[in-house]
Amino acid sequence: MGTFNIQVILPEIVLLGFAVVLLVAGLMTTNKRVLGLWAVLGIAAAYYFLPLSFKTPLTPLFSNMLVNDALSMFFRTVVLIIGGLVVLLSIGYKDLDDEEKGEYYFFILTMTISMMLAVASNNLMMIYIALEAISLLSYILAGYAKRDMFSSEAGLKYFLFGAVSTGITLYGVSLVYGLFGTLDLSLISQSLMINGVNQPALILAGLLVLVGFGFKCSLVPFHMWTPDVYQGAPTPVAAFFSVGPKAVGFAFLLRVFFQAFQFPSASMNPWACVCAAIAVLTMTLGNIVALKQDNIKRLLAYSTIAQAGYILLGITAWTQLGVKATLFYIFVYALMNLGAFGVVIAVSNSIRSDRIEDYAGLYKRSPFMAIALAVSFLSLAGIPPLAGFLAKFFVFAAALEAHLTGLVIVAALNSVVALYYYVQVVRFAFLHEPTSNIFTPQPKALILALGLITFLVLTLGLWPHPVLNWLIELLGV
Amino acid sequence: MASILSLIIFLPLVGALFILFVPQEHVRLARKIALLATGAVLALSIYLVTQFDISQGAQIQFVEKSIWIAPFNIWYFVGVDGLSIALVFLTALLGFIAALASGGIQQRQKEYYVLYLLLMTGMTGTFLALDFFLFYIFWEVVLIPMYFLIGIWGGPRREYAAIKFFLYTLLGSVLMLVAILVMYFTSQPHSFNMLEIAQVSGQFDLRLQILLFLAFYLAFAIKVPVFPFHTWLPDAHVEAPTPISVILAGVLLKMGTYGLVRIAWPMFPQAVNYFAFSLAVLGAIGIVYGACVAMAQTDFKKMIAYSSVSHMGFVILGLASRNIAGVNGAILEMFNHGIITGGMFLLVGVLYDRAHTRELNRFGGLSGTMPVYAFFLTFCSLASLGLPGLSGFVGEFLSLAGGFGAYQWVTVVAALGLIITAVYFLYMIQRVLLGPANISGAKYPDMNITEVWSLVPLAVIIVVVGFYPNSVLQFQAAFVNTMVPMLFK
Repeated sequence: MGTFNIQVILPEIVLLGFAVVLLVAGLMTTNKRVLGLWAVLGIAAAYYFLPLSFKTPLTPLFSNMLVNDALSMFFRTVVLIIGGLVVLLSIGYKDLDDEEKGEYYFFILTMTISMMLAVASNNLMMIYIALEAISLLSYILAGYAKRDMFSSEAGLKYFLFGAVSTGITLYGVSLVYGLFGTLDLSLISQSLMINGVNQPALILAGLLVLVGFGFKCSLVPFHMWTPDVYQGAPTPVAAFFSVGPKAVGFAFLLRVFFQAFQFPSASMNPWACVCAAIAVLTMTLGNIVALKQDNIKRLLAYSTIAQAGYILLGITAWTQLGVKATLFYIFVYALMNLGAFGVVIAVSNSIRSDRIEDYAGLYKRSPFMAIALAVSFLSLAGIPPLAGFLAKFFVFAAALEAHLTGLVIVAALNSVVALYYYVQVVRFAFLHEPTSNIFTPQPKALILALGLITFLVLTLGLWPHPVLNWLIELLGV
Repeated sequence: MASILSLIIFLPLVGALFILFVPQEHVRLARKIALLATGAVLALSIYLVTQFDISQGAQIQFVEKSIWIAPFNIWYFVGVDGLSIALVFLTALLGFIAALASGGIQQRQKEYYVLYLLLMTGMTGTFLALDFFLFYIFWEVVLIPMYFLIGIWGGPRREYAAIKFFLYTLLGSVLMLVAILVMYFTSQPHSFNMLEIAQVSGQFDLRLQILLFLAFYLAFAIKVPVFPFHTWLPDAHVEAPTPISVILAGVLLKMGTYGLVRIAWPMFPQAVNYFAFSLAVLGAIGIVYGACVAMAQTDFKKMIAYSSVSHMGFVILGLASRNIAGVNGAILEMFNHGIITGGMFLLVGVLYDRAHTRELNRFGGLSGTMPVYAFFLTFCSLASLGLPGLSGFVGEFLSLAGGFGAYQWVTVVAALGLIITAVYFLYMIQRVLLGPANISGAKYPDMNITEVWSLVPLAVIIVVVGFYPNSVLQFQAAFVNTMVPMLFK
């Protein structure tokens, strides 16, 4: 089964090395700055080895468990960047228990590794294992602030929902095995092309598999855990959940449904219909419920649900352009959402509150944070010339190219609704006078991460060429 | 100057970046930079007007074109023709005057001028962009600074007014975005180039044309605003600070009418023919309804705001007539309304700065204590109500003449608006300037030198255009004479 090339998974191996050292070092030092820096260093080292990994020709790895294709390259890079930013945000988060810092960064790094392996998986068994690994780490991280009731509740709730949904996915996977006699996605795809399949059975199996993926992406109706978990989990962890596992979920959707479970005739593609329905439900429900929130983390939770709907719209197009638009959206979404959470971290560092009202007068207390907030939130709302607009623009374009005009109109109207609650936060930050002038100086790591994100969100909206060219290089014109 | 249009668009943005680096203790420098930037833009646009080739007014001139986002065939494409030249000059002039009138802004000056300059870039860019993507970006870029300018420096209900403005406009523009994308994919080869699209859009399926027209029409009608999409305007105007009201009425509303003439009309002539009667009726309703509501107002600013709804009705009526006189009148009325109403809002601001109220019934007899103010107010009011010899008359006369050629009875009703307009302006003059001195008995100082000099250029233009309309009409003549016969035989 092909030659085994260690350099393909070198980034993951390097990262694992750093993570293990962290676990040990955590016993010896409680200096969180050292531990955090070590984690950043680990991510940087892994990033350094990524190009080497990509240069390896497309060979099957570990009996075709992993692949090194365009999707895998894109998502591994994105997930690693997300991991790096989350580490920076975590260093900047003052509420974590100092004694357990080593473990915390260990979990963040191992979660990053699991996600990198997950997005490279080419076998449903591997996908399931990766999904479980991510889930287990997520349960621990969600409940990480042990002394906080909300955090423990978040961990438990996440666990209950997660266990059920991955269980259902496993059942779907077993049906797939029954249909094809293999879990290898390449073989499944070939078998579908040549032999066809009992379509209703495949649709049933597919829907069951979708449950676990939908759970990770917080698609309606699998979204219920999202607001509670985001509210309860430590903020950097919530930030991680809102982008990391979500990116993985969409990678699975693309790999399993778009690439493998292809139907011989493209007309009346059942998956596109399912995606269309879920996309409309997800964005509409997310946006409407978000209108009523007064806790910023819950607001962001519903916002991420709505954003997942837009991302799904790109997949629904079921075209190459749709895939590119989806990937671009995921990249930009990761940046702007982490930016939004970064500001939440800064504010909760200072006043220990997540209530939107307490953002009043942020412009006076910290102009930098206020600008970072405005850029992230207006970008999430899709206002030009920020990157979020361009992401929406590409997704709408892809959907319109596929003649999904009705869907696009729904999505466009949705973005008007969304504007209201995004601007609501900006309104408090800029239009209201501060109730207190307290704003403690923020850790440098947080400022660095937010500065970087704000810069990228501002420039990618007008100059998306670096990301676009990369996508074209990966996926062709 | 090869890239004069880019300079006009982006100089304010450069100014805004400079202001960002002004230290808090030298905050007065921000105002100076803003005046410098808007002044330079005004100088450049005057130079542009002198260099503009009038005989080639139907052609796009001073073109700048370079590829921007290649995979989507998106270009940085700007140019000016007989339609946009007057609006660019109008934006530059009002932009400078309103910056001059911003002296009353005391709190958060740096942010004010940064946002103000950003607004300038967005507005000028909208008038000059010839690539749909670029146009949409500029169109939307206007929203953010406007939201903050109303929301931070506005009156008591500023937050409500600001978000209402934002949501209304965005509702229109997202549908426009969908329409833009649909046109992109319908045209072969796929293109965002407005000129190329205008060549092919006439061959689209009629049903598609009608849908696209409606999407664009909604976006522009909200901005104009056409009755019944006007409800955001009085709120925004009443709450906005004086200089922003000047910009809002003088320039922002023109973005809507400009969009109609640049995009909706030339690209979907069949749809325009299909809806022409309804459009004319909406225009006429706007004229009469706006005037009636204006008459009932006791708030000075709200009265002017509704008078804008009424005046914009003339633009719509003229456009709906689809003949040379009507379209000429409509385009001229855009320019005239910008100048006259800009002046009116400045005058409201002058009074508000002194009395801190805009209640018309609380004034009286100001002609005795404020003769200069009385002169300018009477002058602008007469211009606004369409006194022959002043600029307002020409545009409205042409619009009505065009309208009469197309829809006689609609125009007859619309013409009633002129009478009502005269009534409410004269009634306002009576309440503010004439009669016994005001109730509180306070004496206000007359206009100061800055206030006078911000109004003088506007007054000069009003007289010049009134006596010699060709001074403005000549710029648009070639454009109108080419477009109208080609589209609406």
